[in-house]
Amino acid sequence: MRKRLIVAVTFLGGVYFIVEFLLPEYFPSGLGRDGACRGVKISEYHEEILMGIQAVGNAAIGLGLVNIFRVFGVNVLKRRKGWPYSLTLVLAMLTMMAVTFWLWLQDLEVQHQAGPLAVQRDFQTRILNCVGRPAPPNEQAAQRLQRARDADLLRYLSDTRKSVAPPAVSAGDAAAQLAALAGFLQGKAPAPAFFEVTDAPENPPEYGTAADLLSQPKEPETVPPLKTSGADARLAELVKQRDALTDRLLKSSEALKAQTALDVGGQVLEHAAACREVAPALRKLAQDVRAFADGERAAYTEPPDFALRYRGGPTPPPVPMFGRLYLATRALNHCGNVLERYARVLDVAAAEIPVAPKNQQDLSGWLTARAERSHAVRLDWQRRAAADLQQALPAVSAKLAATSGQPDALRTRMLDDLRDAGARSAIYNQALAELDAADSGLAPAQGDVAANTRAAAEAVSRALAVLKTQEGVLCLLRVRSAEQDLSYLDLTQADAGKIITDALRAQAEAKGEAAARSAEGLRSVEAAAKNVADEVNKEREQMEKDLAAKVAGLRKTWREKTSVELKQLRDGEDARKREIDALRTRASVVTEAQKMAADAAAKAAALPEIEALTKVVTELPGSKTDAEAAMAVAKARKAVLDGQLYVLQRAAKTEERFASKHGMKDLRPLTAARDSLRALAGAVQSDFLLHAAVKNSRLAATALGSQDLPAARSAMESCLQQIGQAQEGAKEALREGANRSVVKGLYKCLFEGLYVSLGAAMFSLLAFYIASAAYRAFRVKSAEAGLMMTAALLVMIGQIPFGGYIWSQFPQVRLWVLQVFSTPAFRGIALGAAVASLAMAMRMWLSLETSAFYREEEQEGA
Amino acid sequence: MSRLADLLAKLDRRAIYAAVALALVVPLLLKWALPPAEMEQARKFHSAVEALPSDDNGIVLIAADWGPATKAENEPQTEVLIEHLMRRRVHFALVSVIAEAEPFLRDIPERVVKRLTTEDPRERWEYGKDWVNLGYRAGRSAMIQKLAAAPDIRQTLGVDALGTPLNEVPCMRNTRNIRNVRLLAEFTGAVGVCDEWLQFFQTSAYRPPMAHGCTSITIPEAYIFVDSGQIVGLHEGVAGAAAHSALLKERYKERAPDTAIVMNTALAVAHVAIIVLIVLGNLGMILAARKAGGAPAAPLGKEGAA
Repeated sequence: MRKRLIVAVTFLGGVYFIVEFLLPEYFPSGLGRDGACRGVKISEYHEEILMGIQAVGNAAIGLGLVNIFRVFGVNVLKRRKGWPYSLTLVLAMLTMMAVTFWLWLQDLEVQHQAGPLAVQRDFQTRILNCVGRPAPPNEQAAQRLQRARDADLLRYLSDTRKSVAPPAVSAGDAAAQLAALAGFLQGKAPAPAFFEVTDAPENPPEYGTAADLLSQPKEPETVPPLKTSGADARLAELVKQRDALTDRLLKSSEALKAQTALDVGGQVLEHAAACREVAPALRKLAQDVRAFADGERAAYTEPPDFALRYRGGPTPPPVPMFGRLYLATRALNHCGNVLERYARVLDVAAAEIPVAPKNQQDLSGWLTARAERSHAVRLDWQRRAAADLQQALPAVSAKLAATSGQPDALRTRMLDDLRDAGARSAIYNQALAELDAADSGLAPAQGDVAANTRAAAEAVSRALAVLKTQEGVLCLLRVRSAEQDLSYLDLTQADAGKIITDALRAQAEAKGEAAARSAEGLRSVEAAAKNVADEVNKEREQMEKDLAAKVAGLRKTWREKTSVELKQLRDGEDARKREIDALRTRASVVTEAQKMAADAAAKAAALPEIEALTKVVTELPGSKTDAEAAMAVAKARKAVLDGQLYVLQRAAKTEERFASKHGMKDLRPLTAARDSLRALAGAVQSDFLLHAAVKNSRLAATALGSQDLPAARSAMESCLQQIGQAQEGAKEALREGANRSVVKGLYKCLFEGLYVSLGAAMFSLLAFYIASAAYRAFRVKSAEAGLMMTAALLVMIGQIPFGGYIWSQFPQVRLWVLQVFSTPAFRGIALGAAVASLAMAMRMWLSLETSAFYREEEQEGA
Repeated sequence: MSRLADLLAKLDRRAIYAAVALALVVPLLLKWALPPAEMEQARKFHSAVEALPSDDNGIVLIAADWGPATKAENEPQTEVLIEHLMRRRVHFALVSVIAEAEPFLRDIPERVVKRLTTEDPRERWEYGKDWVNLGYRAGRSAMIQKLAAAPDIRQTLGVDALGTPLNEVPCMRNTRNIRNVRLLAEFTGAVGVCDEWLQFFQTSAYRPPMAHGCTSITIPEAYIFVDSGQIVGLHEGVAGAAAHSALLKERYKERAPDTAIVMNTALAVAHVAIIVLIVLGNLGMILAARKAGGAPAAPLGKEGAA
């Protein structure tokens, strides 16, 4: 039965693929009502079938695993031959599976943590699609749809508010609110517009709605006087207490804003402590104000009107004293809460910030050690330069004295040497002066890195420039001078030979003429002339030999001297290069210090978010709705957070570069700190984006309430985008954490450390075996072997860079061999294999190739 | 002469290994970078990439179907293509049907981005906007067929290697089906994988142009498809990658030599070593024949076997 089932499935599968391949995409089955051709799409379930094949393939992997454990596990259990290898294989496989499974669970956890945001995003996308859908044909349906959209939107807004954290409130809010409140309590400013009193009043209002109160103010110019005895004094005392608390908070804020020292974290902590201290005092003050207001209200016969819902506006409404006092009560309580939350925010910020002071200390220590080392090297170099100069001067003077009889050109060069020596001395002195200036600039820089390092860097740069330009030019001049001297010697030798030859020729001619004049003694003269010519030749040869020997000796001596001088010059150049490298390193460190100082300054500039937020809040009375105001605050807060994030990342990156560049041994804590900061920054960013998304959703609700669908859609799209960004940020932060986990390290160790390296090594061994085999087996023992070796050599030489050096056409020859000989042969092989595969496939399809199956059946039967 | 024949006949195989090791290691340590030999197929590969438009309406699909075993040859090929695409701001997607390739799909683009950013700090390349990692996909030919027939590749594959829905990946915004694949670049050292992409990654109406990067030993097999026009460009081992890299250097003058050119130089030296060994082997055979009085050379014994 099992055999028949397998045969049937195989046959049907083959039929499907053959039909799908041979027949057209649609199999026509007649004409429809509209006359169109109807048909059956043959490959309609193609994807499902392929998925089934994939499932079977994956099941084969499971089967393979079982077989591996069966075979190698039995080897281990029965201690067969080679069982340690089996044990190693099984253990390695189990370890890799466990680590991969663990990693998978970690990924799932990341997805799970970021999952609610994805659900939220999907939900909002659907609502957005509803809002953007075209209107239905009739008005009733449009209204129905509108209601459905509103309901969806409100449900979404409610879900969003529940799913995200409450918005953070900064000290800027609190400070601005306190300042506005102080003005309000003193009657100098309108009631603050950044909060609303939503609690129900203890006594019901008698002035109707807030709109009525605002549109028809009751006795706008009169404010009822205080009734109880000593009320003025009590109110003055309360205002005094409030002023003291406000001053305390504002002083703390000002101290933080004026922060110039390096310990920003400490200052932030102090500010947090001040906030924490002021918060309960404000609540106590609120209770006192409430009691005072109750006492005053009891003295009145007319009902108080403190339960208004004030929403702000250009003109301050006439709020009676009780209303102001009760508003003050709520405002003070609100500020207390705000300050406590802000204190928590400051604690977090303070925990992030104190990275910088440690860097500054490290940098100062390093600069001190570096300056000492640089000073020692500089002194050593100075001594060597002086010794070099002292050694060079007598030698050049002696050379000058020895060349008094030499041609003027050589003497002039000697004089130039002397001038070079003098100029070099002057340059040494100048460089040393610049170095001294650099050190003098560096010394105060160690004390106050942020202020003075730039001067030190410039001085070092000037010293570097002097050394690089003038010393380089001098060295070049010396080398060129030596080369010219050598060429001069060559010229001198050639000129001397020519002069001697000319002189001898003139002498011979003179002698010949004298002989010609004497007709009588012609023969004797000829003989004499011949003798003379021989002598002259001998003399000339001797003179030429002497001169050549002399010139060779002179050249050898000069080369030796020049080589010694060149060596000295090169030594000096090496020393200067070393010094320049040291100076360059010091300059780079100073530049790093500058960057870090700039970071610290940027941090100090980014932290006073109070200023930015205060500015935003002061613009709030001009805003139309609370949602817009909230968005403005959110935008300002995002800008401040972005600044903080940037500063944190810059500080961490600078720290890492600094540590790696200067060989700090333990880099891992620094890197981990950087990663933690990045993850924290990502999380903060995500939280903030969620906060902004909530604000946008409120804006969308407001716009929807006023039937402003485009505005609602725009706000919702912004909200969607922010949730998406928040989701990405959260996932990135979670993934950052996962990447630094133990299991990730283990996975990297196993895969990249072992598997990749061993796999590459196994394949690379082929190179050695191929070389060995080529030496042993690539012998030209026949014409066919010779042909094969020729082809192989042509292809090899045509593929390597050296082939082009030998003959530029080698790459073309290689291509010709590949395309004309190799490709047709391989195509023939491929076609033959394909035909054989087709025959085998047909046999398998028709179940003719079942020998293995039958063998198994027979074994089972036996 | 007799001593030379004996020496060549009994040459220790460890000496051959040492010679090959030296020929490979010394140029690598010295970072010796010779200009590679001219490769016509690499030039065509380069031209095919140059002809791609730099807009959002399509992608280049890079199938990096290789693992640690052929990393030495396929990694420089993949790296130089990714660098070329990034320089031209052509969006691309990385995918593999070989499980071992998964870490390389993640690491190579990041490495290229780091190098390019070092070269010009003003430029930025971001994951998602410039490229996407589709990761390892099981099923080989079945997966390739599914990908080719998919009405919407993003829905068929679902998410990228990081779990992000492909609908939300910016560079896949306008990529719906196989018609949006402007070039298929397939790199592999495994037998049959290139054939499967050629065979199945097409529809009855459209087949994307395909470029291929193979290992040196499969060059003759790949030339079948070059000759038939099914492959528009070919990286022939490391030499092909180095030739492509040299073409990039011609256009981007400030580009530093990459690993492909250095590795190609080391391989060239090793080739020369092998040629010398072949010549020495034949010389030993001739000397041994003369020593034996013209009789054919006896096969090398165990001690002489190199």
